[in-house]
Amino acid sequence: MASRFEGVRFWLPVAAMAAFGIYVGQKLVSSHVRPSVNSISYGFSSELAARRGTICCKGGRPVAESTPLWRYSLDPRSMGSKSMPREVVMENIASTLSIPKEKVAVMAARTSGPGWRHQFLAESDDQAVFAAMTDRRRILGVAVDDLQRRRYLCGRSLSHVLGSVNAEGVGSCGIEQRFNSRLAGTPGKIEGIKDAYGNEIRDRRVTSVPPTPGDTVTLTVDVNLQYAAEKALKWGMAEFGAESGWCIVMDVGTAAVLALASMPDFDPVQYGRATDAMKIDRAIAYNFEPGSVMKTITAAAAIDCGRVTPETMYSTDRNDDRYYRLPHDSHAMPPRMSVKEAIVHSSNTVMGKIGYDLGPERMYDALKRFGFGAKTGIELPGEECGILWHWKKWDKASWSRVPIGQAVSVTAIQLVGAYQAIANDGVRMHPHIVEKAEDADGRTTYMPQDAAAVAVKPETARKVRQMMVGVSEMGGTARRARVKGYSVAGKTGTAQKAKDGVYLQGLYCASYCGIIPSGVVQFDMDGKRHFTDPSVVILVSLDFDHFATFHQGGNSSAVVFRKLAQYAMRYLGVTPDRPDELSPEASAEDEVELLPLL
Amino acid sequence: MRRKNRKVSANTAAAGEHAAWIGGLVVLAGIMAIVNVLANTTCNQLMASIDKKEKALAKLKVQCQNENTRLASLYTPDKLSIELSRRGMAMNVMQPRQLIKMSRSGRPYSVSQADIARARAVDERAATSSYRAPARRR
Repeated sequence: MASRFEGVRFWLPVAAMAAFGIYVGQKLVSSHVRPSVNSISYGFSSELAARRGTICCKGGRPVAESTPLWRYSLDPRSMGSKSMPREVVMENIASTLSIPKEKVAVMAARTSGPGWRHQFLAESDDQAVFAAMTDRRRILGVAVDDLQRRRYLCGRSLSHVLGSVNAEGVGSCGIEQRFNSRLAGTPGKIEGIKDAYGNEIRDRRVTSVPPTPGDTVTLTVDVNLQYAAEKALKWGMAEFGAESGWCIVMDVGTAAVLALASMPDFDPVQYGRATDAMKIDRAIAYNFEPGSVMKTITAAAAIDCGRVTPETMYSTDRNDDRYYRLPHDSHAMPPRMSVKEAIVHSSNTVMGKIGYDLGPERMYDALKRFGFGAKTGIELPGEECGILWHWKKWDKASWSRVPIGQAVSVTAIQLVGAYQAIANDGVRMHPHIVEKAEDADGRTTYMPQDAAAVAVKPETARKVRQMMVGVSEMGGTARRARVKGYSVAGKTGTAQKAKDGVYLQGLYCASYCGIIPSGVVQFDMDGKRHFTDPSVVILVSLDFDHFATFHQGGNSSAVVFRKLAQYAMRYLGVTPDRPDELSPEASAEDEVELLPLL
Repeated sequence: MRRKNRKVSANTAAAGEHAAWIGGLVVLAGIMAIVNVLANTTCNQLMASIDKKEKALAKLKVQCQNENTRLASLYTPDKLSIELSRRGMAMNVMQPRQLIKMSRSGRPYSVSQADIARARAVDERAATSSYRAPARRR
């Protein structure tokens, strides 16, 4: 008789084995076919930092780059194992990072307190050190953080343009701040599974998104011109005793900034240690009274609306009842002079009369057309817009003061932009310092706006440049701005500094703004006239916080202008429009006058 | 002698057939499991190799980046100026008369304004039927 339990005795073990097999199979499937990144034990998700974009100068020369940096932190709890005693690990750490073993021992002895499991050891960008510190056969208990070190290859040069990044890698000033979102890039992501030793199971990676590096920002600044500008400015400040200064070199045709220097400057790597005086970019964020440099704009406005011509004569008598409180001249003038002579000799009285006759409304409109009273929109943060009150708020005295550059404040970039319009036959272009921004694939992500505005008529601009050439000729206020072989159309400015509504005695801001070549020097050939084109506009300003002997624009800023312009013309290869002034052979005198540059 | 019981219980017979099927399936599963393990092992080895090569590539990229940065930092104007003065080389940019420019037609310009205008005029005549004044540069 078949036992009724015979089937049970057979099937029960079979069922048990089947159940065990199903359990093992399910485990196999879950671990091999459907890995879970949400597993607390083995799943992980990490973010991959994107490399910050590079900032390049004209021609693609990098000036700011990020390089990898590793930060090592000690976790005393994880140091040592059965096969590797703590003392051996400490010895290895100390020798690899070149730090005293006692220091490591003190850190390893900490077992409480905030941050005791993540104590800072050192930072290093050395790959050999990284390889040694991540070798688990030698070192345990050290966490490695991937960071980036921002390196500024030109040191302090271009500091105000480039700016700086803070400890979190976020731009805090300059181009670093203005283009931070483009430079930062997009971080990547990895999600996957780790084994019991903490090593990633590579074929079980679920998500792998590579980081997108930041855009490459190319500036219009030429690194050699920038170096020359900074060197000339430093020389001028030391030579003439100025506390600060600024200098801009701008291309005439495009209003691209070829050099922008502001002194004192700072070290971008140690921005936190810079004083307030170092941090301010005086080329864009400093309002100052331009002084006589404004007279060129006044003359342009008056000629453009037909009120005067360069030959119109004016009396230099200040006590003219037709005018209200005319400014006095800083030196003796002939009884009558033309508008051209007033520019050449910088007569405050005559220019005050011209501005008075022009009227506040037309003067104000002309200043607005030249870009004063508004930001230029240059791609640098912190730009000031100057101080230009609406003409209805001008008092009667301002009618003759604004035309000579008082009762109005401008920034250096506005002033250069206005002179660029005069150099460019009356067409004012949009000042810019960034040529383009490109992503990692070479696609352009930013281009400067190509805006243009008409400030004055072309004939007016040419007439004004013709008048300005006389400033650097014999009898003018800026003979020291003459550059051999080139005609210069420029204007000096020596503005008294004001505080609390009162002009301070003996304190000045000396400026010289010049267009070189002037574009109005002609020569005849084959019965036809030929002109050269203006190449660059250069503004040099020196700020004196104490009385100095050579505080006038013609004595100080003009000299700095000459040194810089000489170099700029030769560096840019601009054809001289007065070749007769150049000696047939290269002379030592020409070399000595130049700055000792490349 | 006891007679051999040739009777086979129904359950045992049925179980015998089923056991063959089950055994076959188990063997098949075993073979598949072994194949799976071998494939996984191969994948793991490949992935480890890929991981190793990726790390090596990342390391080389970092090295390349560091070297490019180092190179770029070597020829900044201030460093070049220091090196030139250290070697007693008083170099400067060329004088205008030392600069020769070439026109599109391969004609050399000297720095004389008259020569440039003359060369431009010749090129203009060659390009067009009538001579025009040089266009304004923008």
